[in-house]
Amino acid sequence: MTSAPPQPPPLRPSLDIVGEDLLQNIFTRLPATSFAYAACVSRSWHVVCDRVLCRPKLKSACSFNSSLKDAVEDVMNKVLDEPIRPHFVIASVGPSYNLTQAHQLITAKLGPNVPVITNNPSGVIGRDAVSNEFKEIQWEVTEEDDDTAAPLHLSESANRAIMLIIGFLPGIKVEAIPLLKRTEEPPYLMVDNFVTDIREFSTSVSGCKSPAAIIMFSEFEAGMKAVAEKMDYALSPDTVIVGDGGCHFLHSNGCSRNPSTSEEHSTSAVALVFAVDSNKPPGIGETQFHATLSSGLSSVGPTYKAASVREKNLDSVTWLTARIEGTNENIDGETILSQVYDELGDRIQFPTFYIGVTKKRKCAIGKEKVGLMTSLAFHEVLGDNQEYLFVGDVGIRTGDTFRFYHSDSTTALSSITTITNQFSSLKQASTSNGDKREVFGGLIFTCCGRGESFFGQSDVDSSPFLDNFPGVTFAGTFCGGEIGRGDLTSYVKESPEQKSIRCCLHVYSAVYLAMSYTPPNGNQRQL
Amino acid sequence: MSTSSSSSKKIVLKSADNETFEIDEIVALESQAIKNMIEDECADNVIPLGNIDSKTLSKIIEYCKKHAESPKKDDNADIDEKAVEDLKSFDAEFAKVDMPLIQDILMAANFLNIDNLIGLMCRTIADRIKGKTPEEIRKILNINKNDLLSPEQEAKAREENSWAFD
Repeated sequence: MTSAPPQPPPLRPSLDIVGEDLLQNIFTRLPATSFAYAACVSRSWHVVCDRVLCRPKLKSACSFNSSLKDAVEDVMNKVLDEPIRPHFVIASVGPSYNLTQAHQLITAKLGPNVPVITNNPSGVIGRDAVSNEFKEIQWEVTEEDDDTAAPLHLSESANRAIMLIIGFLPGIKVEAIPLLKRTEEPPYLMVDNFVTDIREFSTSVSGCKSPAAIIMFSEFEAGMKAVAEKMDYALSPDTVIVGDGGCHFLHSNGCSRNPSTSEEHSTSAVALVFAVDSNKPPGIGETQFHATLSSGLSSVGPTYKAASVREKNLDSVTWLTARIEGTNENIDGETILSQVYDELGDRIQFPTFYIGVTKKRKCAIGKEKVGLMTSLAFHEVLGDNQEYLFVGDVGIRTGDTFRFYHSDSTTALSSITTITNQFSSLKQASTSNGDKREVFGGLIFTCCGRGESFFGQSDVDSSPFLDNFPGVTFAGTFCGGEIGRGDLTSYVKESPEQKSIRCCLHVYSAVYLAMSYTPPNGNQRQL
Repeated sequence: MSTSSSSSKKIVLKSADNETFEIDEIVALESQAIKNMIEDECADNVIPLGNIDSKTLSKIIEYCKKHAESPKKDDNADIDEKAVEDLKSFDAEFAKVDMPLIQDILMAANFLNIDNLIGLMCRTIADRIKGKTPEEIRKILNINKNDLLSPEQEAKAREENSWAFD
């Protein structure tokens, strides 16, 4: 046969001879795109790159650039300035920017395989990409009567904003699953399909019907309370659910499993679903989601029972009369409201009122067995016509009990303190007794009614996280309705049995989501 | 320091190809490894560096000299901007050499434990990789052909990083 294979000419040595530690040192300095290329160069580079990216990461940046294109560029460059693989992206843009355009700019940079949600909330919270300053920004709202004729005096600086969050979660799979609404008359939210899709995705990834967490965005529309209640019923209590229940949004799936919306359907909500991969590679630890809630509501007056209920579906309004629980006398709307005002006195100047309705309902997904659940739903008080009390949204039934609640910054401040303590114990648990758990990121969904004008000072809602985890990525939005499944003790102090009451859609609250990571035990590779 | 450098203590470094370099001790102390040897008093006047050739060693000495002469950040909070800028532009010039020498300097700096220089070389290599496709990188850095990913592995790697390739 032929002689020995030709020896390669004595080339200058390959970079690989510098060794894995130095390669790692080099790769850590690469921006995300170049890092992605490096991971495809060779076997040893691939291995070292995986070592660089073995822990989850959450990155975020805000830009207030006056051009949308430049603003997207700013935040993209900032969040992609170090190695990361985008597993999901949330972009929040101000009202001066075009939502569709923003979504296109972002998805164009990330390709079709990354789930992206772009929304326009009531404000953004996060760190400026340029100055690195932490900011809570609420849009400058103009009067209702403003129109195209009056843009001159409109300061647009605050409203030209974009906040971007990008997450890398090894060992977790993420998908954006939409809640469709049939647009033909009568319109109908396809909740059962939505829940089934979530369960199917979770089962396919983790073998478990309920995912680890859901970050959800929904339009502010009738029937959303029922959706939240159904999700709460259908998913294991271990599933963390947070999000914004009152914003416009666009989404890209990041996969081909769910066909995009057709002409007969519109999308009313979208859920970023996080499921633990049962086939996660070795050496990947555990990512956990911790949600907690700061309430800004106080109850006032007695407990009422709905005596008569008229639903005005078209306007998404409910007309009510009620009786005080334990009495037989029907009270009209005007009397109920004056009772509540008397009770409240002039303690608060311009409170926003809600009724918190306790609903006991049968619940089932598709053809599954019917179960019973009790939930608390907040309906905004809109006024009265002497005879009836008017509240927003539908879904109240005769016999439901309710109490009045009003927005209250004192309650909010005290619950903020509670959250600060909760985060402090989360932090202590991570640093003590050998537990290597580390909080690597946090999100906040806070009510658009809170912020500086509510508390009289800025950054109050962010303080529990910022104080406990300085340097850790923290970002979020001001919402038109906070989605949060979590601790309810702030609403129902009265009796222990009431603690079984569920509530997922809040008002005047701040919902926090902290993400932590615990490396695998035992002989993990040392860096 | 400029006045009495001739009277200060000297250290001699000997390269793999037996060239000797006499330098001020303060310059040698930029290397944590040499510093440890001196502190442990296990260094003779001549320190042999059997894995560093003279070309690389002279570059490293050039670097250490400059950095030893420059005011340290922790000496004084408000050292003048000019000195910082000066050092920056020195570093930038210093790194303008070809890849094989950069690799040699990096490995020598790693051996001698000169933190700043390791950082500078890693940053330099990272800058040269930046924006290059995998094919270009393989060429520039002469990646070992035996170490290439199999077609399946490469497909999987690209899939994981597909967001960057579109």
